[in-house]
Amino acid sequence: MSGTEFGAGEMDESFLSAYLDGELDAVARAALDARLAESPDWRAELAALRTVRDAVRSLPLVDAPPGFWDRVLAPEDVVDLAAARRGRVWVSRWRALAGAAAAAAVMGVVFVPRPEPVQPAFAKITQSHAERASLGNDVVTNLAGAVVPVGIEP
Amino acid sequence: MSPTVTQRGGRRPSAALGALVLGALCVTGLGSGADAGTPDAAEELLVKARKTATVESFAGVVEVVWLDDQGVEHVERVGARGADGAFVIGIGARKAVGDENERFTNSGDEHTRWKGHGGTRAPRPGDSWDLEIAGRRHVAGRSATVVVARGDDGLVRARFAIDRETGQLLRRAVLDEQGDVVRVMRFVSIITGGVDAPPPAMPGDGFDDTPVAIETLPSGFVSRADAGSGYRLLGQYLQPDGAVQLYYSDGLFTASVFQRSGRLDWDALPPGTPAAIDGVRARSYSMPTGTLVVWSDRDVVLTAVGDGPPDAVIGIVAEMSGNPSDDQSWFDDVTDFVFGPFDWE
Repeated sequence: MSGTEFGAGEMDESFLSAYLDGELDAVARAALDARLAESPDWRAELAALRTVRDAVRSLPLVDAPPGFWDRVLAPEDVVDLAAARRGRVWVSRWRALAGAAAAAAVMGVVFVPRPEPVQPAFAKITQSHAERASLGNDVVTNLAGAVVPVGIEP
Repeated sequence: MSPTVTQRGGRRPSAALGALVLGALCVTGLGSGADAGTPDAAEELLVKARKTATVESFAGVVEVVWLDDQGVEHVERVGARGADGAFVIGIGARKAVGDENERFTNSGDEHTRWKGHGGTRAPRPGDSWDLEIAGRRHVAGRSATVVVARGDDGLVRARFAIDRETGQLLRRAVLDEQGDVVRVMRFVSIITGGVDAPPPAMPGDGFDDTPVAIETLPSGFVSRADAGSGYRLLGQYLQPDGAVQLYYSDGLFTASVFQRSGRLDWDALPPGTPAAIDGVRARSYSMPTGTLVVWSDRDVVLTAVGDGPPDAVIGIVAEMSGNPSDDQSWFDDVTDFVFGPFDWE
């Protein structure tokens, strides 16, 4: 993945997967390193993705049933299509099971409820602080600033 | 290593300075008594000024001056009056009313209310600052005594003008570590005594939600008994919306740290001034009431707001984020970056 495809402010979290898989070029990796250094949220996201990847990789390898490959590969034998089919079904079931386990691992991480987004209410915060500060302090200098328009409320 | 601008640590010996100031005051006749120029006299003026506006009757116009994050100066004026222990600041939908123990503020869309505080008594102003009487000046046509507060480096970080007749605070200016004024509250006109104004009434039903003092914080939130340099925790409160408020004071300035569970949506924040505080991403805002800084720690969104010098608020953030400001170069870098535009006299 090329670093020229995005600027520092245009990265989305899909780049984290590429980052984990070593698919980013040097420019993109450096940009993402910088983003990770400044953002606890991105670092948390990276840690979550790494957990998913590790969980999938830790799943056991699946072996075919004993004698399966002998029967399939022996040229002199007539292939028992029904048996072969049972074998394929067996493998398919293992694959399905492995896939389900991987999906469960992914869902276990992805669907852990994330905290709700919060926007600090600047007006309430500054007012509440000014009020508390004015208790036992000069009321005019503490509260005058709380009632003038600021215009930066999220 | 400690930050250069948040020098605290108890009352410092300043006998030589005090003697010089006292001598100067005696020569110039600034003091009204034998000890009028001493740090203790300066402190007494500040302590008395804390209460005067809720004791004396007055009416006037207050000017609020501050620099925004782009370094643009803003000036707003509001009316203020008090009588019989009650007061009102502002008018219409934007006003704060109160009495000795209660506050109600409406800034248009939001309202907040306090009833008492149940917290610890604030430190004395001289606990963290070198105070001195620095002369007289006229503010809003009234003769005022000027008190300055210096840090350990000798730089003036605040100037107060206190009415000589009533003891009321007429002007407060806060300076940054370059010595530039960043925020001013001042009366531009005032009359005192015999003000014919009925006591402003507190709002009735429907505005009863108030913060509640708590001993133990809910799980996931953090507290520090001391924050920044010289700020002491005076109270912990649970807000009606579930946020936690930690309230600090160094005796002269105040700060609060609000905490709320959740994930900070950086993209939805107003632009402000981006900052990195020892590896912690933050965003800073210059407000009429002071400096506000937002950051997040795991699943908690934190907001610090304080009326002191901007670098003092940054110091609180550094400590609350688990990264005490012990790195001189970092601290200088951050404060220069965040507050560099405040090149204003």
